Amino acid sequence: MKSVLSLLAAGSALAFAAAPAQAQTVTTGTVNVTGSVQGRCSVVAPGGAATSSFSGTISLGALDEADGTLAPSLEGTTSAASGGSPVITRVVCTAASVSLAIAADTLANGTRGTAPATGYASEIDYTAEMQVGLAAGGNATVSYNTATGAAASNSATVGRLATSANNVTVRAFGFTTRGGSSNLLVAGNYASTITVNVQPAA
Amino acid sequence: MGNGVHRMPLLRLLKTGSIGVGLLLPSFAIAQSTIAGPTAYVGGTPVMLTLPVTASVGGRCGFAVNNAPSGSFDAGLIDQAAWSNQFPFVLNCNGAARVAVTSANGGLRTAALPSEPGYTGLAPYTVQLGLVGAGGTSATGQCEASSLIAGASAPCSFIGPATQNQGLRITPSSQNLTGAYLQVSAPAYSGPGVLVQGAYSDTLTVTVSAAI
Repeated sequence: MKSVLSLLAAGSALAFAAAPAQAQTVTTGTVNVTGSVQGRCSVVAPGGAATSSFSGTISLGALDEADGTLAPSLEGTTSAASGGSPVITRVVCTAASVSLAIAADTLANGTRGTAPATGYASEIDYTAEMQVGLAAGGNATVSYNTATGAAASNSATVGRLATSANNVTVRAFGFTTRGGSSNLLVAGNYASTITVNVQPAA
Repeated sequence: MGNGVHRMPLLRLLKTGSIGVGLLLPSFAIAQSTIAGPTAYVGGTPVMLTLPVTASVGGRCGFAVNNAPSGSFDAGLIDQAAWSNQFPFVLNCNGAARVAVTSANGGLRTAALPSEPGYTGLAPYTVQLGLVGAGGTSATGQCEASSLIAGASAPCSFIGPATQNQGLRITPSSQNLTGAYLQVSAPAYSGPGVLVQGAYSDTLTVTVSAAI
């Protein structure tokens, strides 16, 4: 019995010595890669590079009719049938919630707030509107009426914008002569600026 | 049965060391030789025993200690600028080896993918694997991260886990050679789709195996 025990002990030692030498190695490595996308909105025309702004002109043509007052074709404009051709572009936003804002000043000939002679007008009020397509379907709008004279822009918060082309439309409609529709428009060039802002909601 | 050797107790033979080695050495011999064992004398009759003696050097393959691919890289604003990074590593394989990579997400991914059409929360990137071997050999491979995720419809040739037959192969060996790397890169994301705002991440698991 004693011999058997000795043999087993010796055998174990031999077997251990014969095992291949094992170096300390690991067979798995792990790396992590991270990145981020900021909340932002960019103007991206089809095939074009991203920019931070866009511009365009809504050309209304002659404002008056034969009797010198504002043309009925402008007075009767609506959101669906606005004056001139709307400005259309594509805005891409990464944020899930987007803030829209719009402001405008009167369509004016000369210095605003300076009343011409009685019976005449050099400013025309109107409604400026921005319409955006939504990724969830449908549209959202935000508008500003210059007749209110509000200093602050009007704003709205909407969901993700549609990523399709021409997802933003800016238009003008509902023109009215300041001081009354019977006032004659002073001859000259009339101009106005519509300012819109599209940005990730805070 | 009149031969004295045949009557010799097995234990006695083993205690002499005559056959114990042959029984206990590994059977997966790579090198082998044959020797004539010592002559056993029992009762004055010599007996020649022919005993095979085998030995081997076991395959050793892994990353060198403290030199497995590891760490993190922040690609920054992935929709604004191109990015690239190399994770170096060192193999310690005394024979041919294979290295394979698995991507957890198949790209840089946000925690929550958007449901709206036209938006995405998964940004593609490229994974390049470079290996160096003894004698100046090298091997490189490149795949999209999307082909490195388990279950990919068109898996990368070096998708993990590494096995004797799977992974980028380097021969004849690669023992403590610098120059091996895992590289990740991508241009500024430009579509299709719009990447949604958020944090993006992926984890690459790199495995190594001795190769056939």
